[in-house]
Amino acid sequence: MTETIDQLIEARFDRVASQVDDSEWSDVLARARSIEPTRRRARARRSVLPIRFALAGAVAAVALATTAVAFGWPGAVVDFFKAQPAPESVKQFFAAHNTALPHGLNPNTTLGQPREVMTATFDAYNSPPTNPTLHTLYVAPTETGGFCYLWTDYGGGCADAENASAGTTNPPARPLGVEWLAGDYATFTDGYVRSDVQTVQTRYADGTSVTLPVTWVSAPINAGFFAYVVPPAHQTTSNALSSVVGLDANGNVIGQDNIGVTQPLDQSVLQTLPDGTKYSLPRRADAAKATEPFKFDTATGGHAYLWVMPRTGGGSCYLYSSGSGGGQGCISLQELQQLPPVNGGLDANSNVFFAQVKSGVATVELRYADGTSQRITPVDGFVLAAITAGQANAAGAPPVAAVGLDQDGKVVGTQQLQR
Amino acid sequence: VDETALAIERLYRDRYVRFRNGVAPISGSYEAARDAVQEGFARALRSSHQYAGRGSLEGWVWRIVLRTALEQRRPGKLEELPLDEVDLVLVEPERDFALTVAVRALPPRRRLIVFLRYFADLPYQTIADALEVDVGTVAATLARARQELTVILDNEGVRP
Repeated sequence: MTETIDQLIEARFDRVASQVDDSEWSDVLARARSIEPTRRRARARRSVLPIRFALAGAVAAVALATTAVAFGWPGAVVDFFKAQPAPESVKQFFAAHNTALPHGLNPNTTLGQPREVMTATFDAYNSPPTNPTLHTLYVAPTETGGFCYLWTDYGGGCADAENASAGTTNPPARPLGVEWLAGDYATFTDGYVRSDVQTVQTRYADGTSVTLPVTWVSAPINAGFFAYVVPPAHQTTSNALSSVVGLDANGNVIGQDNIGVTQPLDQSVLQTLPDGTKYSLPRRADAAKATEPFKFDTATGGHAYLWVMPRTGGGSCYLYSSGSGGGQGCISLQELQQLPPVNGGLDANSNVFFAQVKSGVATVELRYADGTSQRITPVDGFVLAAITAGQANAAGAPPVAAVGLDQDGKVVGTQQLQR
Repeated sequence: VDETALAIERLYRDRYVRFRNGVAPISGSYEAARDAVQEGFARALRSSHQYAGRGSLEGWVWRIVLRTALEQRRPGKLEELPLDEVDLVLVEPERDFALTVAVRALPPRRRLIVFLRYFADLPYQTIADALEVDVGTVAATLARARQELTVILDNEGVRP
């Protein structure tokens, strides 16, 4: 019932939506190039007074321009104003991101102030890591009392002026900010701490924990930074990284970010289809074994296609485009049994019909209000077809039903269609 | 080769109309929505190296495009998406006054999720990724919105 109401409401919205396609990729490229951020390879450099932290996993983190002055934090502290100023390219990066970056990265950093505070070796592009490289961390204060940070060839973030009562409503103002890379499980984590945090720990699903080295940076930053490669031994459900916590001097947890370790197969990652195109698909989808049973140009000039691939654990995954829209998903064998024999719909913009069908359906028949029909043979449990122009236009209406027929031509299921 | 940039281009070519229609209620017109989508995708390209596979790529791009549209409508620095403050409406109300009235009766945040679900045709998980909320929140919000829309349209004698 819910699905029916859902479809009715969707059809209602579809009727009032504009179908004009005024896209222009070249314009996007031109805009993107108008403020080109600087990305540079990290370079090896001589630190002024290096202090080598204990190796943590495969990370070699080196604090730069440290001072013996006690700031109340454990260990060595980078005196911000004695740290190496960032090169012009990095300053330009922060300047560009003052106006260009989304998600809190347009924070009015104080230009001219970015400083180099540490380096670390990790693989920013592969999880598990295959090619660790050296990355440099630059930090810059913002005009509003926070700071922004940038790992070369990786990325960064910003933190608002700290607000201990921010709770979860304003994560950038919390005492602990954590990012991580994950394949099936987290393989690398980095972030910052401040406030009364004295110690940072990674905690694992098996109950163990590791205290991380932290590079503390003095005012106006007043924060510590860490980068940590999770040991390869912690790559199973029972012992994967589950959280990063910040502890005060008494060992109390005053900041915590949990890292989900359940159902990693449903996490989307960039995958390569057999024709070389890239798509963000659930890890559960075996893109290397994908086939493309349907591919055609639509009457409106779009490109319609359907990829079908095995789903880890049984069932199938799909990726389709109707020329103006599309979708993707994975369905287990159990979920498939709960679906009607024909489960799909029309794309009103491109006159394309998409459906997933059960194994007993040998033919899908699209039936029109004027009594005409159109037959489609499913492949690998799916159909994707252009609505025949003559029927859609001459009859003045799209098909009103999709009927599933078995090998003997008997009706095994009917889906009423809403345009 | 920046693989994420390639995926962003593919996403643009496949879903442009959905993106534009999805942000049109924020931008106030299809023309302004087009500008927000173009600029949002340009930002996504510029910061493609920041996408690290956390959540879907589409949700990540949606987040950028939504932020761009909101910034264009309310210039200035945005710390968070002001989802509870923006008055979202159908951009061409004359096309369906009953639906326009029904949508306006929804609270702002619920309205945005409705637009993303029904105008932009986004699955629950992508909406959750775009708005940085739990997928259960999306499901619960849509369930309530669906009830309200049905009741309102029923009361007007107009079935959805």
